[in-house]
Amino acid sequence: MKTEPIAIEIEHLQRRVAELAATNAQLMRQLADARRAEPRSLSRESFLGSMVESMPVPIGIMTPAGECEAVNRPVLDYTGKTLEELKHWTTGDVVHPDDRPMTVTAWSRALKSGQPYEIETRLRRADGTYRWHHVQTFPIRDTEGRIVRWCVLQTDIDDRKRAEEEVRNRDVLLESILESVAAPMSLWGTDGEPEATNQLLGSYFGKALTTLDEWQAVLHPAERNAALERWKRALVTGEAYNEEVLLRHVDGTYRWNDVRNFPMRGADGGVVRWVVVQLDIHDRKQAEEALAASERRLNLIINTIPAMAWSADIDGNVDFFNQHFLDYVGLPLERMRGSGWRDTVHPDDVDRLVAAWRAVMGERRTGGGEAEARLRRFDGTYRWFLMRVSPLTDGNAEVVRWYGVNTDIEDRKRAEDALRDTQSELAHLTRAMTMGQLTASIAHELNQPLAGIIANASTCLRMLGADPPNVTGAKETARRTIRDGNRASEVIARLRALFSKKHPAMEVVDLNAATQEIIALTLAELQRNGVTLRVDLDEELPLVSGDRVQLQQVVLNLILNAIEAMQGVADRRRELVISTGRDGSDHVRLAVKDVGVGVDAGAIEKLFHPFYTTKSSGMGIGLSVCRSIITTHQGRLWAEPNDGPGATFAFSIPCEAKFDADVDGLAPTASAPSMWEHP
Amino acid sequence: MMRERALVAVVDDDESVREALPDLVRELGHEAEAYSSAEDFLASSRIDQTRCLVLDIAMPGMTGLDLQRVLAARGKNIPIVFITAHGDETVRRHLKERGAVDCLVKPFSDTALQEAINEALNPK
Repeated sequence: MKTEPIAIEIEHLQRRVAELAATNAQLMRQLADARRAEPRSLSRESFLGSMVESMPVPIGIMTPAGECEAVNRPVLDYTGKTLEELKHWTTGDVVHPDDRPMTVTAWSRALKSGQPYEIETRLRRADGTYRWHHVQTFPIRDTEGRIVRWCVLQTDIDDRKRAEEEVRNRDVLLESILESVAAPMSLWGTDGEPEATNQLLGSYFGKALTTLDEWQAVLHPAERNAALERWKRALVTGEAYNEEVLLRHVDGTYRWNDVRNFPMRGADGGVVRWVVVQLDIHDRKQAEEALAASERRLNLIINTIPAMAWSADIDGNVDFFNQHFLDYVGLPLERMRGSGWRDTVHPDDVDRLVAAWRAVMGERRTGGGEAEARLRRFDGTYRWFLMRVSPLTDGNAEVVRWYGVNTDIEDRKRAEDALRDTQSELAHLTRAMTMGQLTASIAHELNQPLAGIIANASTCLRMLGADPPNVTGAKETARRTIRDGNRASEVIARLRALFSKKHPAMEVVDLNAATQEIIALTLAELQRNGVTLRVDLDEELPLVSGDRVQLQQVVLNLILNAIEAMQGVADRRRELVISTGRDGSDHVRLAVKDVGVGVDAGAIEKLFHPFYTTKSSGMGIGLSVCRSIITTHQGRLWAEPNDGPGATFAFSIPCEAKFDADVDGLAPTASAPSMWEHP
Repeated sequence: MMRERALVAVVDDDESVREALPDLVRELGHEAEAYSSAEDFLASSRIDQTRCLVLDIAMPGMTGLDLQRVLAARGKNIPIVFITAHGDETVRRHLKERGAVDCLVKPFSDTALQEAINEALNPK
């Protein structure tokens, strides 16, 4: 705002008005003198005429009847009209049309009353522009008091008028700005005292603050001095500043306000006024503080939970690791950011893990994903982690961020390994126990060929000892001796394979062949128990992938259980049926069906519990071990009552071809087929 | 003196035994005949000529003990030498008490067989 030049202008005008007033007074004095000098030679009219003519300001002389009698040069120069034209001023364009009626009325009233008057009216200049004039009209009376003439003094006040108007407009502008700002606002003088406040400020504090002291009163006492210091300094430096202060609201509570103090400068750059706008940020600030507190709590939680948390942007660049994570790897955030974390993944796992994350994040899988990998601890040891990642989605279910948690499963992994070892041990132990059951059969299996060997060898000796020796017969018996020796050796080999092996090994297994071997081993036992065996093996049976010995152990257990179940059967043929076949398109099934005591449908599952037994002897651990073996082969083992007497125990496991197909089918991408596999 | 060769029948489901024992029996100076089951023996025409039966106990179908009972029921008093792959002294004693000449546990020696057959052929 250009307040100062205006002020200067006003000052100038005031000075000018004073000068004119002085001139006026002088004129009056001259007139009075003229009256007193009337008797002198100079005629009154000519004196007046020459005096009016000589005045440097526009003056007009009117007759008592109201006719324009004379005007001086300045009037003629200003209006650019002749005296004759000026005589018709009440109808012409000398006076601004808007002001004319009022001017004429005032003149008529004065003529009647004989009273002087002053009006402000616009008069036309020669160039056609109207300028504001202060017009003073007063009567000139003779000694008797009669009006002899009217004198009209015109003072150009247009510049002052305009300046005043401008100031007035500016004040209106300022006021409207003050009121249009939707916040408490005040204007301050360079003396540091308030000049004006808007209504919002009044309603905020309950009253308009008109002095600095009143202002200080609404400042929170704890901040009063500091705020005052800042204000005083700003008055000196003229620099804008913001401050957050507690101000007392009309309700008596102190509320946080963001107060902005900025100077308004004049044309010369000097501060002419200060504008102070205050924004109540109390609610926002409290919300911010609550948010900050909430964030602090969240941070505390994230950094305290006994898990490793991390977060990645939409493209998978990891930009956050919680303290546990950083403590575990012993690296600063900078080293871990982006893809730096890859250095902490075990070299054997890193490609798989990266591929897994790429698949999840690259495809923006809203279901997230998980993977297992080893991470290097600060001390260089690697531990297994289960890593799960979930997406944060926006309203449109679009992924916007990723959050991950790594859980240390090293102990679980070890436990799993230990469990696997224990299971192997148990399976082995169970086999050993089964061997105890089979002792008689094994003795029989071995004693048969041994009997043949000894008989043949004896015969051979006798044939050779005869006279003449029976060499042909001896040769034949020797040949049989060798054959039976081999037979015994095969039995031993089978037993060794079945009972010495401890650790499971996956291989391609012909289930039929494996079953045949077990049948051979149990034939004597079947015979001893008077059990008739029927074998119904599917010659087209697909191969399976598994541990041959463990699968044989299961078959052996099922056969021995069946024999045992039929021990009390006397009223029917003790028949055992062993069959294999396809189970659906991708599984093979082996069933052992007996005609024994059968199973109670309600108690079937109990059969598979460890240490559950219906037998008076033995530990009954067999079926439980069998089931865990079959489960390890991704298969299932079950029992069901027959339509007739007895029960059928069967298992079903995936065939080898299916296993391959499965891997291909499950692979998310060809490049990373093992992504979701547990290492 | 040319003694007449006595007919010894061997009944065993195990082929090795069926091949080996008859030859040994012949070497011991007897005539031998082999049968793979009790049923086969009962069906043979030479039961009445059989002087000694070397009989396996555990066989599918009719067992050795079953055959012993059947023969007794038919009044065929053929001396029996049992052979078994899972026998022991208790079984042996038990069988002898029930009229068997002996019970030989596989594998057995040629002399054990010789003694048992001799005892069957020449009861004391």
